[in-house]
Amino acid sequence: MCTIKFLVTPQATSIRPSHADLDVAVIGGGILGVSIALRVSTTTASVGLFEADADLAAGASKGNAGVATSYFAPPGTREASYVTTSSPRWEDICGRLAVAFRRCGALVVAFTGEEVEALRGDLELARRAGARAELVDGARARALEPLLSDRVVGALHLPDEGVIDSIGLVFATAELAALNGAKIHRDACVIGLEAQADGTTSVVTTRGVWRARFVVNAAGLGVGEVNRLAGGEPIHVTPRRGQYWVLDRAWEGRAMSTIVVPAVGPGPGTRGPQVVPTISGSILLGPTVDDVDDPGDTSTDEQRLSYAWEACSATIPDVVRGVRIKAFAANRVAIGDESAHLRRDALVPNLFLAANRAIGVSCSPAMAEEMLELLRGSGLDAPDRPDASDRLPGRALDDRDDVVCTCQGVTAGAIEESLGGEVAASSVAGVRKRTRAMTGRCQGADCFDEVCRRIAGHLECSLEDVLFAGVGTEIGMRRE
Amino acid sequence: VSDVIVVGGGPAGLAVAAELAPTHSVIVVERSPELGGAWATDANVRILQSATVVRWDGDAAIVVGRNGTQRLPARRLVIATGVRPSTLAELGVLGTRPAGIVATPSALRLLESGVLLGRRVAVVGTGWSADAVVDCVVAQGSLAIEVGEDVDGWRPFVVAGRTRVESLGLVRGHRRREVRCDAIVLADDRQPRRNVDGAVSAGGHGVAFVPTPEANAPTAAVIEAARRVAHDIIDTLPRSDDDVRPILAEKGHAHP
Repeated sequence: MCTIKFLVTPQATSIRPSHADLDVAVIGGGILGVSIALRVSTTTASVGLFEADADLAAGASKGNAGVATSYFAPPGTREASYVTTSSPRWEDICGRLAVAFRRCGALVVAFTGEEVEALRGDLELARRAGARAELVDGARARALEPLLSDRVVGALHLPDEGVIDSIGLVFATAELAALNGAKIHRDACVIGLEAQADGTTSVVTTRGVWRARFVVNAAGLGVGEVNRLAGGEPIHVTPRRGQYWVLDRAWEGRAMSTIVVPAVGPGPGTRGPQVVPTISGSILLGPTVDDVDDPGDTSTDEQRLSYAWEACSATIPDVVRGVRIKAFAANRVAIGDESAHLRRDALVPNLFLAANRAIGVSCSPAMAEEMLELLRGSGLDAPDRPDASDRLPGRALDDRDDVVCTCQGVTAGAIEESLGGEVAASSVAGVRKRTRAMTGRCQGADCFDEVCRRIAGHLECSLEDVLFAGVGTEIGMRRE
Repeated sequence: VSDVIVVGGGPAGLAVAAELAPTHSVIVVERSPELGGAWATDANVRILQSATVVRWDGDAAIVVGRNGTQRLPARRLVIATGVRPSTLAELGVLGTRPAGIVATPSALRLLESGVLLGRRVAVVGTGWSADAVVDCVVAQGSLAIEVGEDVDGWRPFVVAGRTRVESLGLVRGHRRREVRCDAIVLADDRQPRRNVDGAVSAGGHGVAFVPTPEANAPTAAVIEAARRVAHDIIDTLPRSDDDVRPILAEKGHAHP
């Protein structure tokens, strides 16, 4: 049995050294991890999810463009198959999870005849990959998106592209998994994975030890470290940073309807930064692309964001009249040249990898399904449970309520709701991710303190002990 | 139908209401349970407190509050919600986004509740809010470091620190320097507060904005600006006698 001495934390003193067995331990609380946990939770198998951060959606699942794509990779690739399988399901999935989704379409725009010719090749590939696609001329493209630049001479129109509340999707998916019996552990950093003689693995975390028959490594930027702990195949992960601008939804009264992407980006074979009309109404510009050494480096810089600004204002000139309300960055997971990775480890037979570089949301339903099939094929005897729930119970928010965040119209009741449930928020950032409070044009100037007060009230702690995000981020400092 | 809905029950909003009241029917909607500023009860003014105007449809305001969501038809909407500080993006500050960055008025209310935001607090901006923050920080025994282009020409441009704020980088021409700090309070109060969808940018139908005052403008100047907005409305919007009576009947707390 495990003999790890825990770091003495308030949580560690109250947990027993060993926990009940799990059929499947999922490591990582991003979109892939929660999607896999949800899929397994609807079978007879027991599943536990372990997230190192204080909250779910801590990495690329927090910082992305919120796009559910219909075409990404050439036909015949795994990415293409994941995207094509997942794409038609979004209305159904989001309806059941009460997550906002809009199939808005996208225009991959060309500024020269040469670029248009190149798009013909993309058209062929997109169709063969199973996506609906058409080539349109500049006038037709502008009819689809009136804010498009006059300089655009042609575009690849992908009508099935969608925008999605990608952070909300993570929490709703985790909530449903938990309702189906999955145990979601946060602040549970995996610090050891020890193979046992009976073929199971001891999953040693900062929250305790679990015995698991199967381990799914969906740790995002941490997949290399998790595999190392388990003694699995070495995986070299490159953190690939994406930086974004968020523009206010009030934009001289004009609304944008379609995702717009330059056909030619900064590097060979790349697309440029997108202009995305998000489901919350704000406009998102990005991402930029650069590889960083440090996975924790999510800082933004002037040089790359200026490029994104220039490139986006070339496709949508009115961008320059938008009000920038936020810049942010997140790191996605680059492993070799492929985007999607889903496989059984060559060295550790009960270890499985799920990773995605750029389109985790767009692939997540299909990857979760395939992961379950892979686990079943590897000895997980877990038929679907007919009594498993496939939807979140309806939530009726009382409209007789105070508005706390005026910019985004978030009521006190919505904030209270985010502090409850199976995967409750416990910090300011947690409330922000679940409700979008503090994400509007004043960025919380007016409501930050009220959110803190409501967290303190809910957790029955003092105001200064309210956490902004994780450990060590109390809003009040200790007095000496 | 009311003639005018005024968003904000501070000095500016109440000045607009008082000016309009003799000739026009007015509803003042205030977010907080309290009104700010001198107030003389007038028969023609209805006041909704603890209520928030979330949207203007051009002919009606959508108001959310403890009494539910209401649609209040009106001919004009006056935005008198004052100013807020510039966000990091508006200041052009990039870098990391750690704990320890708070903006007024939230920061001021937390300080007034005794929360120690930091021991070395960089306060961005000048003016009433920034002064109040500095006073609170100093009273707590912490160091307040006033920064900002309007303070000494050094413009904040980058935040450093992963978990908590560690420093704020400043730039002036080609020179750069770093202020070590464990908290940053944004307090320049330069941006108009625009919270009502449909009435955010100029040009919304039937919308008038009380202009954003100059930094450090006295309240009297704000009230004067508000009165001018009211007079523009009086000049362009004929009064509607018919509508006054139902509103009086409905409100019940002020009688002619």
